[in-house]
Amino acid sequence: MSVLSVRNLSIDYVGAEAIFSAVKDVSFDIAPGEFFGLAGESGCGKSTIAFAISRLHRPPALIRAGSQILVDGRDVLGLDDAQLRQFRWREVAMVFQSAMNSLNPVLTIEAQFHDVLNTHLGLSRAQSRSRAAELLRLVDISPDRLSAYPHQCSGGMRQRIVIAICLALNPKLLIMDEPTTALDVVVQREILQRIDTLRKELGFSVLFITHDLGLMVQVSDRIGIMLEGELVEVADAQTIYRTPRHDYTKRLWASMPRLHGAQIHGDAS
Amino acid sequence: MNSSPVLALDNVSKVFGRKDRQVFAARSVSLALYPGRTLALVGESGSGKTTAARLIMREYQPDAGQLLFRGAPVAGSSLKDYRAAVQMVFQDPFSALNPAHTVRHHLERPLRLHQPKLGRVERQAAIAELLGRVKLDPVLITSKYPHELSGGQRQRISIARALAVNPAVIVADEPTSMLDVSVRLGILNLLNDMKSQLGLALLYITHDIATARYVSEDIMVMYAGQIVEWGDTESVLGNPQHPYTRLLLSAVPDPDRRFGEGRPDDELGRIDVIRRQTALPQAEVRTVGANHFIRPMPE
Amino acid sequence: MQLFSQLLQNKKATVGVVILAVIILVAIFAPFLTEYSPTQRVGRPHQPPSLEHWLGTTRLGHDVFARLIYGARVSLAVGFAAGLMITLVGTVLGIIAGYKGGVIDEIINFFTNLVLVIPNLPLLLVIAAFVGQASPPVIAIILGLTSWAWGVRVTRSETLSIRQRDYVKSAEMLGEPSWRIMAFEIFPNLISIVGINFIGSVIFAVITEATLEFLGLGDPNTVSWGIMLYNAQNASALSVGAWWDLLSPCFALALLGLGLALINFAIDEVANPRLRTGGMLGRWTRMVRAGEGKL
Repeated sequence: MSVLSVRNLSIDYVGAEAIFSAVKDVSFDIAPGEFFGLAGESGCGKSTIAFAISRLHRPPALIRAGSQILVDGRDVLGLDDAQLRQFRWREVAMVFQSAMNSLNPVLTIEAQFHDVLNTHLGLSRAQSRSRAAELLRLVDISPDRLSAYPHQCSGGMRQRIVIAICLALNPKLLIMDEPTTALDVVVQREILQRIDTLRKELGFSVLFITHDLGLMVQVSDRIGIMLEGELVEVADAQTIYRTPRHDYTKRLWASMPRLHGAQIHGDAS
Repeated sequence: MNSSPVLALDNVSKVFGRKDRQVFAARSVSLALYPGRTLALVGESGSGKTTAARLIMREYQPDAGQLLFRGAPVAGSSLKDYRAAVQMVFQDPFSALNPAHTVRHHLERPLRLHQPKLGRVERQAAIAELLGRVKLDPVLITSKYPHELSGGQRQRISIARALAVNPAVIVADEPTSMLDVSVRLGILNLLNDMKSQLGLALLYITHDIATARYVSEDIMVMYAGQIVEWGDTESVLGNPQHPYTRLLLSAVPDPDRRFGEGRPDDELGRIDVIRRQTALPQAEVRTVGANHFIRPMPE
Repeated sequence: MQLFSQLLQNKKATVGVVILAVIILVAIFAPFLTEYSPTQRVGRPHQPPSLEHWLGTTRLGHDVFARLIYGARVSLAVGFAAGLMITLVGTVLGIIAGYKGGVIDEIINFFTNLVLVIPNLPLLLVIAAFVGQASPPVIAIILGLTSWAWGVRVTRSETLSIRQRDYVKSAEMLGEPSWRIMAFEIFPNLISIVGINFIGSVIFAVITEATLEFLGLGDPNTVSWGIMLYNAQNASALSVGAWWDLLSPCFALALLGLGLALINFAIDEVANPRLRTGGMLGRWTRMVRAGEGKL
């Protein structure tokens, strides 16, 4: 059974005068342990989809009737508040682009872990500390960072801490919305390599959202291309790279300068 | 290649902080810009490329070394003439234009300041011509406000504004990193066209090495305020000699190489060591090719 | 500009502007709205509201309604004049301090802090008492000279954040002179802050003028809302049951304050879209109720 099953998802933003269709009838599945990439430029609706899976939207966003989101067979759109609280973090965890700024600046790293572990698992301080140390080791951070504050850590380190907190409850699906866009290329490489290794070890699936198609091909199993709210092409990574079918995918590849090998032909300015 | 650079930094250093806790934002940086050529300055954040840009724009004064314009030291000389010759294109298209003013205002001011003799009609014609150069329709665009324009259009207007004073040098600080992928190439091509048509010297600052390869003839790799490898772009990127350059290049997303298919001597396994060594003052310049130089790591 | 057209559509702004307009018009056309002079004895003392005297009479037999609408002229004049002075000084000093930085910033900050630290009302009381019977122009000047400090702070911090933007850097790199950058690049982006500051200063000036006069520091021969309060208080209006004498100026002040405050809320809402609430979500709520979708 798929870890994530999205069927006929349509999301609108309701304005006073007009309705903007951000997501138009999108359907795709993610298998257990799969690394699925969702690519597209700004405004294509990829982040909107990510937010919908965790039910994080605020008005005027509206998930249209007829849309279906199933996580491990469970209907996410039908959950009430109490069930949602159980669902979030345990089944699905999300890492945002500015996640480096989503750490509470007045709490130590240890306190942030304890916050999550105590709320969801009822762990004591001591138990939280040892579990937190375990999780930090998963992302290559030494446990003596537990007593530090977020501002004492670099951007890349903060992002890794957020990822560790996300993995605390062994979620089945990790959603990452442009998690490394604000980071340097070497740090980005380290983090994504870690995620790849971890998902092979722990077995969670990843929904990875970015505009960097080259990066996506390097790390994903399958890729979906989004254009103006529609999912225009879904295929495995190598197919998207070598034999893309949709015009838009081809155009995206044609706009990306290559570092190695033949350079692209830039046409008009 | 022209033998005389239009703009050069000669062994420039910039230090912040006090005696015992100093940070070298730039350490013995030397670079030269030639008419009709693009120099790409690549590095991660904190590498010193923004400091280099600020030194060139004379926002900072060098603590050691000097800034040379057309061969003559710039220190103490007239800021006004320099400003007419060296212009900048900024990274963020959203804050590069004043939301309270129309496109016309943005292009009128530089014309008024640097070509005061133009009459009203001639100025309007000059504005239309500038917009045409950046492939925008003057009839549609002139009366618009920035919030009515797309990111790509705003960047084009930024470029038009820089061109309005007939500069000799343009410093482009990450001009496409905040634009959509499909729009970036248009801007890069525009910069290339302007460079060759007008004989501009272009300094292209970026962390995206693939685009640096696309636009530049010469390239410099910076880390911790130092330039560690520089020279002809194809030579440096095709045959990198400094371990840091190799680290940087192997980290760039390459769709041909999936994770787990790294070569045994991959720099990615020695990231901390390479960073630590490259942060120290590097050794003397070594020539490794016809137009290819490095400052090796200290032993 | 887009700011104005959005403001015109805002309900709070409309109500506020209407209230303000009514008060201003009433003040201007006072002679046409009443046959009585505000300073002449035209009736018996403390008469309740009637057809002859719409708001009754004061202890001295003056028509309350006449005093009210003539008094509006003084309150509005002092309010707007002082408000203008306060905003002008505050904005100019704030922009200069924020943009120039360095020594100039330090000097302006020093004086601002000095003026801020001194408690406003006691200072005004001392000055007004020193001057003797302060006529409205004098009050306006005193207010203008002592109340600009907060405006400097607000304008300065807004200027500091705008100063970092690339378009200001670009203007500097083009060689624009400082004064042009402050006036034409920075100031146009401060308009909503300055507007709010201005309206707030007007409210402050109107209330403070009324306070000073109520406390007996004003010129008793003036016809203004504050003096009406002063007279009513001295005549123990409430105790003798002449509620119209005291409540008329109270209500007038409250109404003016309300109108101005509504305009301020509206400017704030238009300038900061995140504050927009309620009404804009009507359509969304209807669709959710109809079962067309959910969050």
